[in-house]
Amino acid sequence: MSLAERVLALAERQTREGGRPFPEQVLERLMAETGAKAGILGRGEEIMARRGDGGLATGRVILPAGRDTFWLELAGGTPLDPAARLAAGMVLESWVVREELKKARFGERRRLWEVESLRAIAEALGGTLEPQRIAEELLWHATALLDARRGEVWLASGVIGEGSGGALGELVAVARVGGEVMSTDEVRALGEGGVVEGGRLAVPIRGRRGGLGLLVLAEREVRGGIAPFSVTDGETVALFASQAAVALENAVLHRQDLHRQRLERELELAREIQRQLLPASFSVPPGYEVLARADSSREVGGDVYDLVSAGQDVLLLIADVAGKGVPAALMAASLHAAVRIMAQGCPAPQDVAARLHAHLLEATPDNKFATVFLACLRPGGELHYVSAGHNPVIVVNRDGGVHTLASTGPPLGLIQGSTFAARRTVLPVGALLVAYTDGFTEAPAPASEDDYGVERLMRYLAAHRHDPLPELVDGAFREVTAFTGGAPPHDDRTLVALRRIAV
Amino acid sequence: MRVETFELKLAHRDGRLAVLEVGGYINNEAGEAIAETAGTLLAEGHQVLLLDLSHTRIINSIGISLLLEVLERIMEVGGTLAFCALSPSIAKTFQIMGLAQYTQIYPDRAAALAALSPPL
Repeated sequence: MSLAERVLALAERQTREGGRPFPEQVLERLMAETGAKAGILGRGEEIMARRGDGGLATGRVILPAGRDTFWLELAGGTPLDPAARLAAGMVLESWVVREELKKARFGERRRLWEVESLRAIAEALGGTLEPQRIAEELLWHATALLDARRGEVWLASGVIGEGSGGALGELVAVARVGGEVMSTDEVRALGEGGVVEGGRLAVPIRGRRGGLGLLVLAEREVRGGIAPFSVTDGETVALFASQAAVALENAVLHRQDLHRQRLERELELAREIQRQLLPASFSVPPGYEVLARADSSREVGGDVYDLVSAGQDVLLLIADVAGKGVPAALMAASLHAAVRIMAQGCPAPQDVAARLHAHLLEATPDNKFATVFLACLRPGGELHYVSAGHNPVIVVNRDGGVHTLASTGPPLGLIQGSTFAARRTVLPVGALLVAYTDGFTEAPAPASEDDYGVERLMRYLAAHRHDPLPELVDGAFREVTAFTGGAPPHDDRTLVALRRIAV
Repeated sequence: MRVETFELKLAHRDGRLAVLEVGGYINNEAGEAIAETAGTLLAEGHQVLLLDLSHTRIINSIGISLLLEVLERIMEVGGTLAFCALSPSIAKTFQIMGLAQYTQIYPDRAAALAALSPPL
């Protein structure tokens, strides 16, 4: 086999033997064949391989190839014959062409991958309503596609469901790849703007209502180093960010909608509980007439009332549990049930109040409390009552004289160790007793600080004290509604009217 | 916060086979770490290399080109490069970038080991 043939044989295995680049292998073979101690193999200005050291004695010889100019410098040894030089040139040329083809194919595939990434992110973002997931998809695709070494996505606290109301709030880092890119202070200083500075690329994620978040990438990798981001990179990422913005806005709207639906369901439940609370029938004590009416507010409060027979006497209850919605309605139901059970054995209102107080302190976790008016009615007009922080109960005598039964202690369930003493009064024949909740007297006037108030109610009751109870009660509700300009009640309005009609 | 950090662990070796667990972002640094470990394993006679990508969600083009180099070197010695537990997005990437063509891809570690381990 000639030297040229042995050199050509190298082309059969144009691989990196043991991880060594091909030109090095060619140089090594040529040195071995010629007996040279050192050598350099190059192409144009570029040195492709270098072996051995010391000055090179012989001059540069050209290795002819179709397109490129390969050259060889050897120190010592026998010179290469023209056939061997041609063979070496051909072997190197075929290797170069093969490498170029590989690179071109990689470039082509990479562009295909970019297109696929754009499609994939659109699909991924369209398929989720979770802000965290959207942030991750955005980050992963953008980081990979731009060959960034590190990346982060920051989202407004209002977007990820923290914070309150409609405010978008401060940005929080929610997903990170490869390590930290920006500090909270840097992100804050950035405000609504973005940045393209050689090593870092920050693109705001903007919604119609303002900044939803920020995508930041750092250090664009190239083989063996870092290259600056380009304006085109910024545009590509901005395209991703705007797709993510749409997805994030949808996610926020969806969450708000779910929240609204849950509130609606809760309100429906609270209304149902409250409907169950209304007594189907009263135990009206002999010698009295009673009428009650309760109007629910939209949000449903914790009003409850009842008349429960307790042996010869009747226990009158009116209460207002602090708070709104299901918790207030449930607590009102619990209080109501407790009163009905306790009324069986202990008609003394101070005992009922003390036990209710203990019950509420024990059974309610937070600072839930209730204002309660409890009165034990005797057949002869005698009245023992406890008013635990409740609105003054109004008494109107037949002659128009008005006075109130003021609160006798703090609300139930509020202060540990409270005691509740009963007071005694007597209702003369024809006297009217009216108990109500604060939704009645605190009904606001439209566009003013004023509310309906206990004085207006007292004046109304005095003026209408002889009216039959149905007219009296409905009239009182009409008065309040007129006072508020017809606005729907913001709190439950409950009113119980009781009149002593016989000796 | 979800954080992707790179981790590389030699999980198993048995005759010709070696299993590497790769977690996190395969970028330039990570790709080089994989290539270096692969080179060492090849030199030690492990010509069948399985990369378990259960904990990897992203790879960039530098990571891909480094894996392509690992593939070349394994093919030179007549070995096999295999992957398992690819996320759909990475599976797609491998397919587009031509990595899937010359490698073996398995749904999970068990399937890969069953196929790659020499019969007793």
